[in-house]
Amino acid sequence: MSWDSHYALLALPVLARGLWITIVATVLSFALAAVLGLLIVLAEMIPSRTVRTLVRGSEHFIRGTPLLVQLFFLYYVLPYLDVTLPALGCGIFGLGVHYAAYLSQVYRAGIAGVPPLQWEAARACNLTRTQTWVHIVLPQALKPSFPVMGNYLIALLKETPILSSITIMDMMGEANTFGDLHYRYLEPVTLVGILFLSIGLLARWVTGTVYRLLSNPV
Amino acid sequence: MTATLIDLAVSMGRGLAITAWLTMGGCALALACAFLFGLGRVSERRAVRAISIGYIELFRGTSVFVQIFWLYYALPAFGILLSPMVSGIVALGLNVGAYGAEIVRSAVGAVGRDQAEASTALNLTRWQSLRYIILPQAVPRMIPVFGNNAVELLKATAIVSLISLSDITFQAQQFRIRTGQTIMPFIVTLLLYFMLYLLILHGVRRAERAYALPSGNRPS
Amino acid sequence: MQPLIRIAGLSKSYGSSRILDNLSLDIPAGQKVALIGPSGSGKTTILRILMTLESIDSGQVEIGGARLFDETATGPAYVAERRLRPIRAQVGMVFQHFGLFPHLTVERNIVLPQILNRVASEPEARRKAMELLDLMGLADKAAHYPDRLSGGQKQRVAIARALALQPRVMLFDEPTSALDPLRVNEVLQVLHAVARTTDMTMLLVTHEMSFARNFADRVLFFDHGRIVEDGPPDAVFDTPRDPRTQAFLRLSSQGE
Ligand SMILES: Nc1ncnc2c1ncn2[C@@H]1O[C@H](COP(=O)(O)OP(=O)(O)O)[C@@H](O)[C@H]1O
Ligand SMILES: [Mg+2]
Repeated sequence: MSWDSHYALLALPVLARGLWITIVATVLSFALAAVLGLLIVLAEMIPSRTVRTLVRGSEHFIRGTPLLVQLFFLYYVLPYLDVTLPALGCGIFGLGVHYAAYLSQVYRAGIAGVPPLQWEAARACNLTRTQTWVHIVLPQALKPSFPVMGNYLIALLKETPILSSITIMDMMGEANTFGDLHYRYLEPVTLVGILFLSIGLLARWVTGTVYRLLSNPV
Repeated sequence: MTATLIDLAVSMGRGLAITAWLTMGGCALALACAFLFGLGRVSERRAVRAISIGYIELFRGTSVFVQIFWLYYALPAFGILLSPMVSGIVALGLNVGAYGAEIVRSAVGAVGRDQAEASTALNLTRWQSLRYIILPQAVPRMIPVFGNNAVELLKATAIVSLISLSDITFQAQQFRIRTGQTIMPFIVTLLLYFMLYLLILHGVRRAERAYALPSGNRPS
Repeated sequence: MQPLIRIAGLSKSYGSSRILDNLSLDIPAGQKVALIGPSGSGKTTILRILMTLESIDSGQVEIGGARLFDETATGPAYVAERRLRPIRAQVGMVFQHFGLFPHLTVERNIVLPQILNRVASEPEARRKAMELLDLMGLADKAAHYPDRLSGGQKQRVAIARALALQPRVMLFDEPTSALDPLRVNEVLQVLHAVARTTDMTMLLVTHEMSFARNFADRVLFFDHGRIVEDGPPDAVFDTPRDPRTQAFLRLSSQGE
C-alpha cells in the first residue's frame, strides 16, 4: 500500500470543514488567553501574599499538567457540577486558560523590561498608578512581547488537534472520522500534517510582517 | 468504597510507570536528536545543514498530536507497525528533539567567536574545540530550556493514551468508564502529573547547579 | 636561506574595500617584526591569515616551506585540515581581547591545549604551566578563573598559554591596547623578556612606538593594505622615507 491521491482528494473537503473549526478555536482561545494572561499579571499586583501565592500556584499547576487531562476534566466533570458547556466551548475555555498561564509569563517579562526610570518619570509627572500602567508601562511592556506571543499563537494552533479527543470536529477530528470510515488513515492524517506546516509558515510570515509594521509604522 | 480506592490506586500506579517510561524514553531520544541535529544545523557541510533544517522544520511544524497518530495509524500503510509505546517514544522524542536542536544551535552560537578562534590558534581539532571549549560553555545555557522541553514532553505523553497505551490518563479514563466517577480520577491524575512536573523542575535545578559555569575563586 | 614565512601577492577585499593589496613579504626565522600603521590598514588581517582564521582572494602563504592555500576554481582555499594542523602547530597567537577559556582555571587554560596537542603528558604540562606562570609573575593565580583577573593578568596568561605549545612563530595582535594604561607595562616587560630569551620568530602589531623600537629587528609600516615602509627600527623611526609614515609617526609621538 502507498499514497492514494484519489482518496486524498476525497478527504480534502472534509478537512477543509475541520480547518474552519481549527481556526475558530485557535482565534477565540488565543484571545481568551491574551486577556486572561494580562488579568493574571494584574491580579498579582494586589498587595496580598495570599493572592499572589494562589495566582502563582495555579499558574504552575496549569503549566505543569497536560492540556488533554485538563480538557477531560472540563468535559466530564463540569456536567456533574451542573455546568453545561458545548464541547467546543469546553475546548476553547481549556485552551485559553492553559495558554493564559504561558502568556502571563510573557507579559511579566515585558513589564520587567521596562526601565525603572520610566516609573520614576511617571511619578515625577504626577501620574496616578492606573495612569502609569495604562499610558506608560503597558505600552512599553507589550510591544516587545508581540513576537513571543506570535510564537505562542503558533504553538496553540498546533495543540488544537487535542480538541478532537473531546469530540470536537476540528481538522484532526475530521481526519480520524474519515479514516475510521474507510479504514485508511495515511492520507487524511498526512494532509493534516501538511496543512499545519503550511498554516505555521503562513502564520510566521504574518506575525513577522505585523511585528515589522508595528515596530516601524509607515 | 475502599475497593474502589484500591482499584484507583492500583490502576494509577500502573499508569504512572508507563508515563514515567514514556517520559524518560522520549527525553533520551529528544536529547540525542537535539545534539545531533542542533550541531548538524551549524555544520560546515551544506548537506548536513539541509537535512538538519528539514528535520527541525518538519517536526516543529506538524503538531506532536498529528505525529503520534501518524506513526500509529498511517505508518502501517507502508507495512511498518509500531507498538503504541514505540510510536509514543519515537514521536515525542523526534518532536521535542526538534525544539531541542534549536536550543543547542542557539546556545552554541552564543559562545563567542573568540573561543573558536583561540581554539584554532592553539591547534585544537574541530572536535576538540567542540568537546572541550564550546560545549562546556554552551551546555549550562541549554539546561533550563531543556527543562522546559522535558515538561512539555511529559505533558504530551498524555496524548498517547488516545492510541490505547495505558498511561495515567488512559487509566483515569478506564476508571471513569468502569465506575462512572469523574472528579476523583481526574483530580488524582492532575496531581500525579503535577508531581512529575515538580520532580523534573527539581532535577533541572540540580543539573543547573552541577553544570554551572565557574565564577570567582575556586577554593584551593 | 629559505625564509620561515613567505607571503606572495596576497589580496583580500570585503565587498568593494581592499584590505590587503597584492602584498608580498618574507620573514626569516628568528626575526622580531613590528607591524605599525593606522587602524584599518590590514595589520590584524595579515596575522589572522597566518593563523588560518581568515580567507583570502588571491596569493599564497608558506610557513616553514608548507603552503597554506590550494588553488581552486573559486580562488585560493586553505589546504585540508589534516595538512593544516602541522602548520598551525608552528604558529601561536595572542589576541587583543585575550580569548581565555572562561570555564577553565588559569592553569587548565595552559595545560589543556598541551595535552590535546599531545606535546606533553599531564604532569609535564602542569610543570610547564607553573614554570611559565612563574615567569609571568602569576604563580599565585593558577587556581583562579579568568574572570577574576585584571586585563594585564589575562593577557599574560594568554601569552603563557601560547608559549606552552612552543611554536616557531608567535603573532601578537595589539596585546596591550585593551588594557588599562597602568597595566600596559607589565605585559610589555613580559614580551620584552620573551623576545630577548628565545629564537622564536615574532610578529607584533602595536601602537606603542617606543616599545616597537626596542623590541623589533624590523619594522613594517602598513597603509591601506600595503607595506609602505620596511626597514630596521632606527631607519623607519628616525628617517622615514614615505610621507605617510612621517605623518603617522608625527601624530603618534604627539600622543605619547
Ligand atoms: N569581517 C569584516 N567585515 C568587513 N570589514 C572588515 C571585517 N574585518 C575587518 N574589516 C575591515 O578590514 C580593514 C582592515 O582591518 P584590520 O586588519 O583589522 O586593520 P588593523 O588591524 O590594521 O586596524 C578595516 O577597514 C576593517 O574595517
Ligand atoms: Mg587591528
